[in-house]
Amino acid sequence: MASSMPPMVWIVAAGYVAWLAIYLIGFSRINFESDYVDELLVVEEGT
Amino acid sequence: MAAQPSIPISHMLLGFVPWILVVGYITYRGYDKTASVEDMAVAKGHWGPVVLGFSAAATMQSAATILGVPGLVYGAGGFPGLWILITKSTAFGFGVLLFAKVFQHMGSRFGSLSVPDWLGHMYESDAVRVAGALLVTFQIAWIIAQLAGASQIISGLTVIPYNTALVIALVITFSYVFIGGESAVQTTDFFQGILMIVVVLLAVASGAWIIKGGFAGVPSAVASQGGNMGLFSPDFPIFAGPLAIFSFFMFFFAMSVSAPVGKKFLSLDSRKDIKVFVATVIVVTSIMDLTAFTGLYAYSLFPGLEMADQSIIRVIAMAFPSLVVSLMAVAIFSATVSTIDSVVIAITVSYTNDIYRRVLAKRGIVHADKTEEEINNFTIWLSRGFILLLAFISGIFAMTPPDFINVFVTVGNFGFISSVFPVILFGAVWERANSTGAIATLVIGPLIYVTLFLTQFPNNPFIAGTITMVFTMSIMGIVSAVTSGTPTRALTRSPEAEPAGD
Repeated sequence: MASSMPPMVWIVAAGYVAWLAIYLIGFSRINFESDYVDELLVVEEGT
Repeated sequence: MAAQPSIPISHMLLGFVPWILVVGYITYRGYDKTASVEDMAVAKGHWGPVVLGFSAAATMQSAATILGVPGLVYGAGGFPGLWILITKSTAFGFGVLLFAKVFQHMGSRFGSLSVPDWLGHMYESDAVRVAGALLVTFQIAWIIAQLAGASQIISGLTVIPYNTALVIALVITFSYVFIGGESAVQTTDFFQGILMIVVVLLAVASGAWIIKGGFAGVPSAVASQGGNMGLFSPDFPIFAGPLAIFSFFMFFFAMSVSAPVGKKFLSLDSRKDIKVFVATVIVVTSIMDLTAFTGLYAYSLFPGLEMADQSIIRVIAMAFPSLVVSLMAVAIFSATVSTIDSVVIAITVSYTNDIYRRVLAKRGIVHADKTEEEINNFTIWLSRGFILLLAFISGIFAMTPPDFINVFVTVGNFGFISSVFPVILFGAVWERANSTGAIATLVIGPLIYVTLFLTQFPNNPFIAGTITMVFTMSIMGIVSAVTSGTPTRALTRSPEAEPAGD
């Protein structure tokens, strides 16, 4: 049955897994509560 | 071809009357809470991150999703249309994830009430604010398309003629925005979003019994009608090839900062709420996009539909008894009004707050003799008058429904975001981005998009928008690099920019 599925079905399944990984990385890396402006100034002072 | 479904008016009333009562009550509560321009425009702190997340999702997902997505799958001839599932709400959620923080933090710092207002604050430029506000006008196409969608739902399921349905949709939608402002919009969006999720899941589940062999039988059912089982649909521009797919992705990525959606970030009261808000948006929009599958069902069951956007209506009319169908029609109708309301507020605020209050009145060009309180009160009533004007204009244009709701929505929205997106992106991440670059982008960008659209080059509005964004990104980068103007990061250090709470 699985082998008869159109390729688009597998692309969608793989795409969902990829997006889930991107979202999880985003949620773990972005600190929504730290001050955005403070972070900008730290970057500028360091450069 | 299957006969046009027709639901008895009494059954439709059983669905619509409770809906109108609930929305009416919410509107009444919203009127009570609308005492200032801020309440009318963003209703900051009125509701928590889950309600706001639903509101952003329900704004984004509309007739263009519930009707339009199955319509595109049907138009693409089957499986190529499934690109929607990994390039629409997924890309939109990615944009929300990236931009929520900068919007909420800077918006709270300056008290911004809209996307153009936020830009005006970021670049400390009234010219940027006014250019952005005027560009929001493009998004009236979004209202027109949704009105057409709402009217199609009513006329498609009953004996009510299209134009009568249009008047009903106009009166219902604009009256509650007129009375309850953004506060009513957010609550009704939450309520409507839940209805939309229920109807999408029911419609998708119906594949188990209306398709021979159930879900597993869908590919063979589509193939039996000569459907497209491949990756691309050369005859259908939206899914013709990789560039078209990439452009589709870019559109929805940039839509995360469209005027009505970006405004929801500004309604978040605390940065502690951002995470829950973003997660809610991603989950809710992704569930709603599953409606794409009903396009496959319709392709295999109803070949030769004159209006592809009626795919899902045909599916649910076949799968469920008429009383259930009438309740589902209410949910789909909700999808359209939950978008119209937010776009109406976004356009209204652009003119009444961003142009009248922030620029004309503040500079004393008009109403120089009025106090700030008088100007604020006038802004609220000016907003209500503007909402009536929008109702009239969009109603006139919606009398002729577009062939594909999604395509019409795209033209209007890309006209706005193809110019505004680079200004937001560069302002958030590049220290040299300045007001001169922003103004150049906001003026030249629309001219490029309109030229591409009018010359029909290319014949796909998504690709036209993506090409425009290549130009606007270049303009923003080059002009900012070679000119002096107010850099956004200088503004963040100014004494006036102390945080106004979180």
